[in-house]
Amino acid sequence: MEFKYVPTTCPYCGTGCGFNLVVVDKKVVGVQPWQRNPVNEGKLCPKGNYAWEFINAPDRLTKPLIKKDGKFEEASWDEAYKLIASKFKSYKPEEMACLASARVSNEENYLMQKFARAVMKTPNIDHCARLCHASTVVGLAGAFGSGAMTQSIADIAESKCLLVIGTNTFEQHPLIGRRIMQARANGAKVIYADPRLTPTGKQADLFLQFYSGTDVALLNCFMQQILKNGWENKDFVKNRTKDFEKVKEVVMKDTYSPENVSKITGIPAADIITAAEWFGKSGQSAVLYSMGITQHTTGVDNVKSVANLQMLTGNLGRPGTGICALRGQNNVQGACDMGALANVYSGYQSVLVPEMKKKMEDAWGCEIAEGKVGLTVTTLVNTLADEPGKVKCVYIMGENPMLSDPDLHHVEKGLKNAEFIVVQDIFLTETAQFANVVLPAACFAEKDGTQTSTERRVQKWRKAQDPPGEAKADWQIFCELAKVMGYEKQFPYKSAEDVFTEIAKVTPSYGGMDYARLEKPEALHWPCPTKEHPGTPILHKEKFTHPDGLGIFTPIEWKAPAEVPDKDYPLLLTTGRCIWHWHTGTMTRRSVDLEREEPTGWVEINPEDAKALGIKDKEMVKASSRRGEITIGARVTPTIKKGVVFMPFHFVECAANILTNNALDPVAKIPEFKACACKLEKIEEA
Amino acid sequence: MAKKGDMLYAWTNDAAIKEKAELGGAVTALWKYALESKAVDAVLVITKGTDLYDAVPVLIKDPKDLVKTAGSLHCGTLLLPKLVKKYLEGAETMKLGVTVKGCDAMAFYELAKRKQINLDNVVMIGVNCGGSVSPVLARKMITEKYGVDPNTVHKEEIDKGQFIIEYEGGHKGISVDELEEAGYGRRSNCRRCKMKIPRQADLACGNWGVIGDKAGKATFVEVCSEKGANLVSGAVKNGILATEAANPKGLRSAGKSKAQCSSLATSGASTTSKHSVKVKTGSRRS
Repeated sequence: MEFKYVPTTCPYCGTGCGFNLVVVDKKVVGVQPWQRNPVNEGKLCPKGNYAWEFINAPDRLTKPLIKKDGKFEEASWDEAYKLIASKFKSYKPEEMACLASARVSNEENYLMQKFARAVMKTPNIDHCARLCHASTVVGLAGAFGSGAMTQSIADIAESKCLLVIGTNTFEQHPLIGRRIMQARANGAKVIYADPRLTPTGKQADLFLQFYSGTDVALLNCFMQQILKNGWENKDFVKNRTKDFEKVKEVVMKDTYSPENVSKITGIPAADIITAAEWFGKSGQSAVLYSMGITQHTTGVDNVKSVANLQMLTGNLGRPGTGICALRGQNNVQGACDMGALANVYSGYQSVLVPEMKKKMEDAWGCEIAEGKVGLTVTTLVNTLADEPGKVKCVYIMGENPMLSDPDLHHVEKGLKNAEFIVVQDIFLTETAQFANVVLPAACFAEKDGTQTSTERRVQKWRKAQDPPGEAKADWQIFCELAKVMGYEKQFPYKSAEDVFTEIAKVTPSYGGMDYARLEKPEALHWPCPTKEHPGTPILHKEKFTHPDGLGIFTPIEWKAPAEVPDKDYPLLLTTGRCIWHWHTGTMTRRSVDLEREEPTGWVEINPEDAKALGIKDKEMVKASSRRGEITIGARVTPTIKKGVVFMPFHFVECAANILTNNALDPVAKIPEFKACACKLEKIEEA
Repeated sequence: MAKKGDMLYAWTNDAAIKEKAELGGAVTALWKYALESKAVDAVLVITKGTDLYDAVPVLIKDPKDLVKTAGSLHCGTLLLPKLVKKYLEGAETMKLGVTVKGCDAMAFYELAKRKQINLDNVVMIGVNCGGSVSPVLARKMITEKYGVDPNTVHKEEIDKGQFIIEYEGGHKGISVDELEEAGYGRRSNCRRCKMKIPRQADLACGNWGVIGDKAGKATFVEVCSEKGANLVSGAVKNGILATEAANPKGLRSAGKSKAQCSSLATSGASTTSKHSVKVKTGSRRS
């Protein structure tokens, strides 16, 4: 019997917890704590604890599949590559699009954007960051010049006051939730703002239960109170920012008085005043947020309002302060860093700057896609659905838009309109069912690589077992397909490390990193521009990343969600995750222990709303919106605000995203998952 | 021939082990003999992972591999019986040697009561443990309280009530009492643990009571079972291990140290700072 530990990084949320994969006789059979890891110190959440259970699931993809007469047939890699290459060569660049993945490694995201831009010559490359934190990237980059979490996770424990808004941290980032509790144990005040009294909220000192989509009003009111009472950091505002007066003019309006904002948000005015006082006076306040802030048509506005608040109070650049934009997926930060976005190359180097395009052409040794912003995930689906024939071919790696995107009927229509779809994944997902060719990929435990967590820490994956059957690492697939397409010279890599070496060469913020430096459990936080640089756990210590070093205030007026309750759809639907499952359930629903805990979806409804509708707890009900309907079990609970209902979006049999609204933030193009109008109805027996 | 109840000084005659191991290398030598004599099929012990602070369990079948597990690591508390139960078929299909701390020994018995481990197939060598320090906190403590780069530390131990580090350029010790009052120090479970000396194991080993010319060169071994006695006798007969009866003065010293060691559990860190407690904390490597 062979027994060994392989230390690696968790494949679920963006916290970046380390654990040991237990390998017996060359198969992963368990997860054990890795106490040496500085992020989680050996602690794990349920998903991390059971992260091994899907790896050897019996329905892993093991051979390439080609659809013939509507049915998948097993094929050789050569057959699959030849078919794909011939199809790719038959389309014009603008007729093709690629979706990279926040689930796979930095190396593989880098290669997919390189493949899209250098081989397919298309600017249409994006990934699901568009669905979660696109507004963070745009909003924080606008305010500070860098669109990432400003702090390290450990810093949170040093805060004196935490505003936790739009993040159910205990369930979505449990090991960051641990830091909230450490801060509280050290005397910090915790303010929790959410439509639901979640497990996170139950540990708070003050719970602000508000209507989804009223964040800007609440944040502006905080700023008004802070200014009225002189709690702002005048030196910080004067020396490190600009355009403060524009924000002051807006937030001081009577619209944002506690009394008026109480009417907008549903929070008692006294609680808003208390929260503003705690936050404004602590001297060391941090904001934690996640998709409750970002997934709105006003996502960028929400993020910029958070930035305004932190600049106003001078809570940036020090331990225990800052903006903790908690990235959802394990490598959503890295996929953005790698340029798997429609508007940037790796390191956020704009595709619109000719020098950047030339830099990439020189580095890659070939002409690349036109220097223009390509289609995003959301605009791609809209184009497929609404402008048939404009985009004909889609190459998808490790994404499942048929469950993760809003308005699933619309997504289905789009995918059906595509002529040729390639899906590269570990399971035959809901999206893969629409593919013409499916390529079997290795999962996180079956390859080396790196991922970048929410705190910009670049950490290693280490191979623990071989992929099943003929499955291959995504980076290998790109190399082999590029060779068939005539680009072997551009994809000469023999290992993931070779790819990382190239990443470091062309990506300034990763310039000082290499596999040897990342081998330590501490790894490195970007920016790390040189080999001697120790990495940067806290951003913006002395100055912001804009050329003049100043942070930029942006005046923001509150706007209601794109779709609000009315007489036909009188309830406000918000969606999210639960602690037991991950996004589209592709991995967690194949985990026996996790699936047993939460085997299907539900809709939470306030007892008063339930009583008015005659709905009892656990009763199956019809939930509908202007986009579709589902049947789902009711959970009647006082923890949700009256007038609001909540559904987790993991479950295909009652997919919340059939109901959600595809309305987009005008700048970040992120959909409004967190607010749409819906109704619940009893199912009358025939 | 050793017998249950014996108190011995023991050291190895194996040059390779002697060079790498601490306190005469008795534990490593015993496991080497156990493997070579087929008394066990494999040995589950701890080795260094990323660095000194990273304790990693390994299953050793080839006696030649044992030498890399020699020495002490004090930051890992891995609860090895759980691994035996979950991944090694509860020792049903193989005879297993395991180096255990008190917590491990307790867990072995609890799992055996639940019929999840077959203790008939397990040989335990216990090592005294005054408590372990979690790796991340240990590094923080060394950085902040000792002013030393934790990457330069090559040895750490608790001795005479102090947490002592040896690093490139010197050594430093700070009382455990002071460290724990400042929020550092041992894991909270370790502070209340009463099983500092695992006599439920087949042999209980430590570094107390070894005086005279054997001080620092031999391990104090208490023979706790017939299985343990057979292991010592076999190793001595094989020539890999040498023993002698513990010095009576050393035994008195050991008795005092054992009492002090046990009192760590109930009276906390303050006891360690007041007395000379010669105890190797958390050592589980062979």
